[in-house]
Amino acid sequence: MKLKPEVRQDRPSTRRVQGIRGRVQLFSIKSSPFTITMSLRVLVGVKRVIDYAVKIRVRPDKLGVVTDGVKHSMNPFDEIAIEEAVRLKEKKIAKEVVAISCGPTQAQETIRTALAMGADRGIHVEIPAKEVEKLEPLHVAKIMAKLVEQEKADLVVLGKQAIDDDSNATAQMTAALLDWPQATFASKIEKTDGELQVTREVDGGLEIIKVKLPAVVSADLRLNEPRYATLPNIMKAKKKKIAKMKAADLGVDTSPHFEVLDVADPPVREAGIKVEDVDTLVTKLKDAGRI
Amino acid sequence: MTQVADTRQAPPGMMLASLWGGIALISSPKEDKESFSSSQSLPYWSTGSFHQSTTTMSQKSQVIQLYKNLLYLGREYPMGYEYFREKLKNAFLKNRNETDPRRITEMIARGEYVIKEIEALYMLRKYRTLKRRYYDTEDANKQATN
Repeated sequence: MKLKPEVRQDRPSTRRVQGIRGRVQLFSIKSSPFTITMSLRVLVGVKRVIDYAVKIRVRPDKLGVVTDGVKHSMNPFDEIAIEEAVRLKEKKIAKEVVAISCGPTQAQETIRTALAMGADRGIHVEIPAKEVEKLEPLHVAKIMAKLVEQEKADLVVLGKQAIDDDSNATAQMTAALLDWPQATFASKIEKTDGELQVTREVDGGLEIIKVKLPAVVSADLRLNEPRYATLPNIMKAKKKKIAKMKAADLGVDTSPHFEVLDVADPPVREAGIKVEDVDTLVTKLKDAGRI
Repeated sequence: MTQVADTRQAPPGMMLASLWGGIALISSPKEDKESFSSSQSLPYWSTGSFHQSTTTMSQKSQVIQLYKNLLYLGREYPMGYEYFREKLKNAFLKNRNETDPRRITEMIARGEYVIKEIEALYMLRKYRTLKRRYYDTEDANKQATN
């Protein structure tokens, strides 16, 4: 009888060993058929962004948008990520959900919302208000990677993209830094033995993949419907802890790699012109230099 | 205020009308006196208690908690927080002379039903906006019209 090697065992001491030429995989023999891990620690990243319903205006200096006095809330895709993590906890697949946010002091409100939705504790990586705009997905990914190592997490769930910068990069970069498999644009997550079966929403339709744990997942719109954090839940969440730290404490340098040159409104769509017959159409097209 | 709520969503009007119908139901006890005779069956929402535990709180504190919850929910209301607050206050004030505890329990249950409706409204609004913003392409619109 052939003995099946199991690549990853869910014990922190045998998780990863960094060899000289890359990671050395530890093989161990399955001793019992019931190796389903019911004790995942899930890290969820949440971002404080301008509320989705607010009409955005470009700043006079044309280097950003107006954020002072504007309503902010949690990124909608991050709400979906938190909801998924909390549902995993309710199904007893995860044992702890940690909400992480990198941002200014007000990001704590976002973490409180995450705690009200069901997360167990929060981590706030404080970024000074002036540097918040220049924080890039790569910085956040480095911070997440460091926190994963510190917290010994098994699963990272992030929102697909932030509605303010639409980078769609943090989940992918985090997976690359950790050398973990990634399941992006997840619209359904199921757990099977030591793996996740994820349905991804791609341009061509739906793709079902299996990723081994630990893994990074990015949440798409149709993954679930997030619950609303009602007032009683927010009151209960005040007892939960939020740890505070700075990016420098984690050894991450947040100096920018990009410089924003210009921010402008999209061009106003011009009204269409109706013509009576094809000849007029051709004349007008010729006048406009299109033919 | 520098922000303007984007109220061009389709159609919160329908849901809002049913919402205020729900709140109007709460606010008209006298008209409903006949409908609450024991011969008629109670509506489905009057049995459950979604958000508040009715065992430990007095009815007065339950009503106050319901009011606070609705007020908290109304901050994101598409037609404005002030509009919502005014309507909510009027709806609660109309019933301030109610004394029958059974009827008060039903009204509280109806209030919790309205909370669920508002949550559903917000969820739908957010989903539709995001879907329109990120998933509906111009090609899809052209295909739909052709």
